Amino acid sequence: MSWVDISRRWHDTGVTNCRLCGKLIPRRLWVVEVEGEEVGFCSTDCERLYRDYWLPKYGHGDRNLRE
Amino acid sequence: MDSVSLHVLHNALANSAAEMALVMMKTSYSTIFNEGLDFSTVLLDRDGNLIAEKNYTPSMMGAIPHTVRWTIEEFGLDYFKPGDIVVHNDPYRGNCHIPEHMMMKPIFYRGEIVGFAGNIGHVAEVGGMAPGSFASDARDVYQEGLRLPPVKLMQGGEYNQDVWRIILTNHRTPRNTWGDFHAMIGSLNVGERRMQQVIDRYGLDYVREGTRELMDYSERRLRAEIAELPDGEYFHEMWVEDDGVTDRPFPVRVTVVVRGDEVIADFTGSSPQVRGPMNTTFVVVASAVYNAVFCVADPAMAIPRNSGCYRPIKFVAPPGSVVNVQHPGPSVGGNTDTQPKIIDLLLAAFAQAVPERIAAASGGSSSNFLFGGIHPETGQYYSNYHFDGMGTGGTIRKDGNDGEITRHSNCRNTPIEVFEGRYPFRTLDYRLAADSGGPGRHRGGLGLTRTLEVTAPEITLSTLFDRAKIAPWGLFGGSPGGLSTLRIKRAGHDSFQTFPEAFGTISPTKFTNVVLRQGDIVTYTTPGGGGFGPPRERDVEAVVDDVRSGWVSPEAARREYGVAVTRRGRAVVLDEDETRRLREGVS
Repeated sequence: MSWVDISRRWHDTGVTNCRLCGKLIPRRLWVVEVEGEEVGFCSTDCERLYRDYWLPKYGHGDRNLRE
Repeated sequence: MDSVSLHVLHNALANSAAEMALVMMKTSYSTIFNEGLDFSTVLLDRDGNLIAEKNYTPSMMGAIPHTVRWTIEEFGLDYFKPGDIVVHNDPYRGNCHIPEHMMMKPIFYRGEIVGFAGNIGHVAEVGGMAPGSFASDARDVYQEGLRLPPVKLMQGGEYNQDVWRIILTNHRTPRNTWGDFHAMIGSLNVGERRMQQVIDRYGLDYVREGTRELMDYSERRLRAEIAELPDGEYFHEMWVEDDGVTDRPFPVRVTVVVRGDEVIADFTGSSPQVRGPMNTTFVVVASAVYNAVFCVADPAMAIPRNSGCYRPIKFVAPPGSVVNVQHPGPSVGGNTDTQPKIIDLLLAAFAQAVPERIAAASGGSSSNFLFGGIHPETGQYYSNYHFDGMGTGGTIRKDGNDGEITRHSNCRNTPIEVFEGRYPFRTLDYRLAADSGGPGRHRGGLGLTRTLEVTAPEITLSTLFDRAKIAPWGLFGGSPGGLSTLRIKRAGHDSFQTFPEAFGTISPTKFTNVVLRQGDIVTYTTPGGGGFGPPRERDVEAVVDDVRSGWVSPEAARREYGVAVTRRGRAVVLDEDETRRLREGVS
């Protein structure tokens, strides 16, 4: 687990969102491994919530976020 | 730090934010600022934490700490120099919707950034496909107006003229933008000066320590209030009637999770983002959640509002859903018309846990009425964003409020004298709408009816009214509030028509760029609030008073409340025997 700087060219207008809360992450992403996949969060707090709220309720996977 | 010292510091900062707001009100050009008060002002620490506010518009208060913090994180503190002012309105980077512009100014003290002054204001005209920049059938953000990422409007205290020229060239009423932007800049300058004076007086270390303690105090207080709520998961869903482009309703779903001293608002299962502008941005849904939690946990507003009291509140707002729109989805109506309903949705979920603290649904629409054209008296292009009040929901203790601007905005109405002085409409009628409050033991507040006659050769009109098909819900046996309506009587015609009948619009209340002519008369009614508790349990005298006041018709008194009244001249007289029979179900 580590903080990772998002590398984006100045003319790239895309954004990155937190895997749990959906918040914009402008610069630094908290990256952890969950079930073999690297997952990015806006904060360690969101990682905690992902593990103790989201995973028990929905299981791992982006699909659930969108349904 | 002792509590008295903390209180003094809090008031010094909060009054600085209040003075910033006065500057905005007194020096702006457009009615949406100086009459409507559709803005908010704040002071923040150097990390972007909210330390003081003048809360005119709660939706902005939820947004601004996110917006400022993201901007600091995106550019770094070194980006900001003395005299700089950054503006932005990008809905995907922390703004509520395209018209709302956030400005922030770094506050330096002895060469070091110690905080920021910030404000958000709804700029009345920012270009796009419709005058007033509120296109209810916009299909993407580019139709909604000029979108600005964070850019320096002022650089070292000097105009960044390239940026100003781009903005003023793309707004239909650049003089208003010029005036309102300067009101915002003046407000930031006052905030900067006042914070420097507070530091002069108390010292930088004292202010830093004090603001940190204030935030911790607010967090502790809110956590203690949340801990009093019953733990559990409370689900509720609602349907929004359409998105302005398609005629299909869409769901918004929330599970409110109370766990100890934290609340999670989980919107998983809500609709994917919709085609039209009823999507909300992340900060709008965050504001709605803060708003609802504060209503439930701190209704007396006893806890100082700062970033500390946001800490116990968590979200799950899936990107690409209707509660977290992604590029290029439009969102102008999500702020004004989906947001109030999301607040009501959360409150309805909380009603399972603390029914005694919850109101039935409010009208849930800002009744957005936008127009523009060439003013016949000045020859100048004008444009205006106008909104109106609606009814709020009844509660366990009292009826809902009448004609109140939506709970996410707290704005004021524009007086008729100002409205007519600025714009080519004559107001024929402006009153509370009878029978629009949802019947209940405590009825919903009333919506408003306004009737306007066009006095210019031509006006281009756009509207975004919601709640024209799906009424605001009642609670615990209360009945729904009244719907929005919007009609027109063309010059020379005898009767009113709907806009689909008169102009072929798809929606009766969401359309853009309809051309009105002199003598046309437009009339609309805004939605009422839902009722609380069974209507037949309403106090009989209260119903008679409602009939006397013209708020409930004799027919509705009989039908909904089981109260029979007769009119004798101007007097309203209760028929006690008939009422007893009606209430006993022997009609």
